[in-house]
Amino acid sequence: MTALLIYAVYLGYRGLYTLNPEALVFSLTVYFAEIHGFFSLFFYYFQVWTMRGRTVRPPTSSPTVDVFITTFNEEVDLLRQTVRAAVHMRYPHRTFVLDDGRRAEVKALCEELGCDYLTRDTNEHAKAGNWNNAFATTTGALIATFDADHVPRADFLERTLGFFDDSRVALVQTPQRYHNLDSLQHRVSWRMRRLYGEQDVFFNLVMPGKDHWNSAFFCGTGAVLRREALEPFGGQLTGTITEDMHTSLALQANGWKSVYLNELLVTGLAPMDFASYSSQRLRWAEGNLKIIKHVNPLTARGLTVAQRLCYFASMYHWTIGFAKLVFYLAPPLILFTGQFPIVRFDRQFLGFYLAHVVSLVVSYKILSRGTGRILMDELFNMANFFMLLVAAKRFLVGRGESKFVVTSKRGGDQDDRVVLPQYVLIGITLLSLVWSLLGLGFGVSEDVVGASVAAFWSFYNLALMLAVVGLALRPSQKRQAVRFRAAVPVEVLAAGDGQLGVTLDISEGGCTLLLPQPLPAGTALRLRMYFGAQTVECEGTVRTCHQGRRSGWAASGVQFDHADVRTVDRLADAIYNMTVPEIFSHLSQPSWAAQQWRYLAMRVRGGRLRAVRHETYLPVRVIDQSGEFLATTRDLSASGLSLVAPRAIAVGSRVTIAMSSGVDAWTSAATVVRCTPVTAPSPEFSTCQIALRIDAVDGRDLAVMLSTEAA
Amino acid sequence: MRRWRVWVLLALVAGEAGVFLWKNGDVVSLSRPADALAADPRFAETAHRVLAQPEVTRRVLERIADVAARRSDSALQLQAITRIAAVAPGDRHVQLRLAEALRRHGRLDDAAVLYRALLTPPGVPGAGGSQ
Repeated sequence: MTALLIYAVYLGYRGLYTLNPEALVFSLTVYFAEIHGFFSLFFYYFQVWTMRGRTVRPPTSSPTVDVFITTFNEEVDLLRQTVRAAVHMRYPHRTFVLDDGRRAEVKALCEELGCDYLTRDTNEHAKAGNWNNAFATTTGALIATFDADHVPRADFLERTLGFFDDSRVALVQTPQRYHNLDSLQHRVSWRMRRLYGEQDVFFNLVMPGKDHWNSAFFCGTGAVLRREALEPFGGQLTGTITEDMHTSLALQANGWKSVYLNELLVTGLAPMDFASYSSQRLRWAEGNLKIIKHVNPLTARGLTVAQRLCYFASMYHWTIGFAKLVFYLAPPLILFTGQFPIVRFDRQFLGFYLAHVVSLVVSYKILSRGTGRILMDELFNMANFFMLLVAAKRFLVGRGESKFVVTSKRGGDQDDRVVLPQYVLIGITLLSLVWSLLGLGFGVSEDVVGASVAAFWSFYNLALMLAVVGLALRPSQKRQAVRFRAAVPVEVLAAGDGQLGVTLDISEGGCTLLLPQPLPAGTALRLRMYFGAQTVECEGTVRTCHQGRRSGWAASGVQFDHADVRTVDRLADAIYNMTVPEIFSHLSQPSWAAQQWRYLAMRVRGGRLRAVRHETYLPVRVIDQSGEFLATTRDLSASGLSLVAPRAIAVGSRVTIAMSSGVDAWTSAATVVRCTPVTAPSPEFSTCQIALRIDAVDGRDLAVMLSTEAA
Repeated sequence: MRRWRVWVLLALVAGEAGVFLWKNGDVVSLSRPADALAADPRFAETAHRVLAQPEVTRRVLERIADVAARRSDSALQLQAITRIAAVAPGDRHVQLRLAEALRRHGRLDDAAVLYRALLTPPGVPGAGGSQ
């Protein structure tokens, strides 16, 4: 509230005292862009001020459930895992694959997996039309809907259906998370164990905030809808290319409720290349803006004031392109013309300005609750601004309407034509800097302070522009399947002399395998991988091999040679039930500042310091009274280690652990000090996180292992 | 493949430099060393064109005044210092230089008025020159 008040005072001061009459148009344009920012902030703060957390309850009735998976041209391999996961969801249901591509191979897949195949003669109204066609031919009281690349967890229905006990709930939406963390919209810091996703602010803050006001909306996938609520529309509303939000708005205008459950229940694929990403954002922006032509949330009957604001905020968000363009072009204009949009650069103005910026940053950080990152948000604003302008132009002029296009999730070739607007901005900014330097150098101008301010602003923008170009020029993704970072213990059964290794990453098509001894490229292998208590055996061929300089491990790129599709399915099950949840859990550390704060609080309370833990992934053979199993460490310290084991061991039990690294092997006695079950969506993949205190190490210093493995 | 974009940027910068020269050629030519300007027969012509522009930076005006003094062109020097005095009205040193330029140019009465105003302590009625 204070931040908004300060912003309002700042805008008042700007309007009264700092508009430049000698460059009035320029000055007013920048001023209006700042006013746009004020409303953006107001809407954001309004939505995230109070967030609603939901408690899952099991359903008290047994409604019939249909599951719709919409597809058009996605690869069958991709579709296969989604359909399998949907079929294996635990609550009784029927799964329908809605194929607008009319493909025989998809029909065959459905027959193989035991689900229903639906298609139609036309592609009228694209995805929404496809969905409505199935809606008209099915009868389930509730409909769970997934995109072709969104793999649901086995407990998806169990976690969501309880909300429909309230007969006024029309939809339950879950967040869209993406498991291809090397996508364009993700930034991962494995060292800090932090993940940034461009849509995190929306799904972690805005949607729970909207849920507080009963205005969480359907996002197209990972949702369950009530048939009764949709019947008046014959399914989803058509006429826009973002039918999900359009339909939600109409439902809530009819008095229905929505629920947002912020749990990781589905993961999908995010666009890998800039062209796909831009085309998706263009569709969202254009569709959301055009909804206002069908249902204006400010005037539609049946909505509360808060719902009106929430829906309007979702549309307003897509108009940010204009304001951003002004801020990107203002510094070059200043440098070219020497005219400033602000006429007074005195201490008073700086006081107002600094108070406004500081309050804005601090309030944003507080309300973002560790999720929002201003610089990353600015980066994606820079990436999106042109598409938002195109969408706004199509909304205003009403021409050049785009059609629903399936967003490609496979990386395309590098193509920097999609960042042509950013190239143009880079050119303009650089030319303006050169122009200003020439002017100052030859005495045409002498406003060094003004030019410095504009140059600083320009360099900031330039850094964002170059980062966006860098995104577009990233090496293209060539792999057919997404690789997941996972430490899975592996035994090499053939050609590897029984070596025990660990994976660095794994996919349905291959893995990077760390082994103590290098295997030359071309070597045929038989591997046994341990996913908790489950094992997957497959054959593969070493494609590349690199010997580590310090650790002694040899990293081999192994391509799997799958003899049958069942092995692929088992691998996929293991990945989606064990690896994906572990990755998201691993990357959910609080920010550095929050960690320091906790550490300080712990020290103030007199907490005991623990030995420094090194994140290390080593294969371990554990022997206890019940027998022997393979596990992988998660971290090591001078006094103990933690590992992920396939079964529980009683706290206080003595075990023997045999660890090997790239250069040595150790055997030690250890005591279990903690055993925490890690429940997987499918119980057979559940594991235990076990903490061990090392009693004695076989005559050698654990510190040696720590130093080599930490490297 | 993308090297051509660098060449396009360099060509744009070169073109920009050309436009800058075309637009500010006179001012740019005045940035040569003072000795070279003093020896340049076209200096006065260039300086008059620059002085005819509505906005000229103090640095350029000082250069014109300096070179004009070297060439003993008191009219041009006076013109330049008058412009300097206009952009720096509170600068007593500039006022003093203006009085000196008036004297050299033979406008003794004007020079005397200005000297008198500068010598009168501030606050006394009729005192000239702002503080």
